[in-house]
Amino acid sequence: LSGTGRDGGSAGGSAGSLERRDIVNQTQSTENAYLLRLYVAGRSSTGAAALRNLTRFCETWLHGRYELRVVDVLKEPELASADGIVATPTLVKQMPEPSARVFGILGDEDRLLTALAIEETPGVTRRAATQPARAETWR
Amino acid sequence: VKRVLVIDDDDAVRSAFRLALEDVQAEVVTAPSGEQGVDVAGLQAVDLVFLDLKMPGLDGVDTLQRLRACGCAAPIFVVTGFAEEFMARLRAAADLGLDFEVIRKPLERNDIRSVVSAVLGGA
Repeated sequence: LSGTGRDGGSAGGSAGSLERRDIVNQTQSTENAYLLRLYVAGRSSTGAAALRNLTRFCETWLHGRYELRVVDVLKEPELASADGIVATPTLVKQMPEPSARVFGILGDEDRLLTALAIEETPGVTRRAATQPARAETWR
Repeated sequence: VKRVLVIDDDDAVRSAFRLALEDVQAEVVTAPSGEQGVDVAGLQAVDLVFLDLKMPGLDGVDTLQRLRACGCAAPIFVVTGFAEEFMARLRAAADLGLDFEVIRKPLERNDIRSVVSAVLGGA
């Protein structure tokens, strides 16, 4: 589950409304910002859970320094293909380099910290691992 | 043991899934048509479904609809090329409220193994 990223379009929205290709959060500066894309399939329950988990993660670890766009593969398959997406839901970290890809529900904080190469922030503690619901067992 | 259902009219694809998962702790059951796939899912619980989009008879979306109507709650990955020509059907399915993921075609061995491992929790 790997590949390379490229730029895409955007539209307004929020994590709650789940309008695809939304900018869920846009940083004020691109310097050292994390540029993220979450590829989903329509309004799937797993995609929605991945977005909830990712939004919570980003607000905890990347507050004010990330831009997250949600891309619906059903509407933009060519973008998914160009980005090397294998399956949904998949998170792509475009910047900073190196790029990275994470498939699944994105509920495992340690896994995300490692995959996105995020250093721990003083004063921010990792959440205790919790047993996810059935629909959220994809790590 | 977790059970993976592969529904595809192509013998080679079904064989590829079996080979890719032969050393994985999961039982792989296959069906060569949407109709037979629905029958299999009705007879035995499945934990994960790979469903080809383009099939004669019931296509992937028709089969998806029947699987959900029959109470199949397993994650279903519709196997399709990531190109606009295949997406109109899937958008219509999503608009009906059908819950599914997509996985690109053609699939490589490692793709299959990665998804199965992630979804079934290291099976």
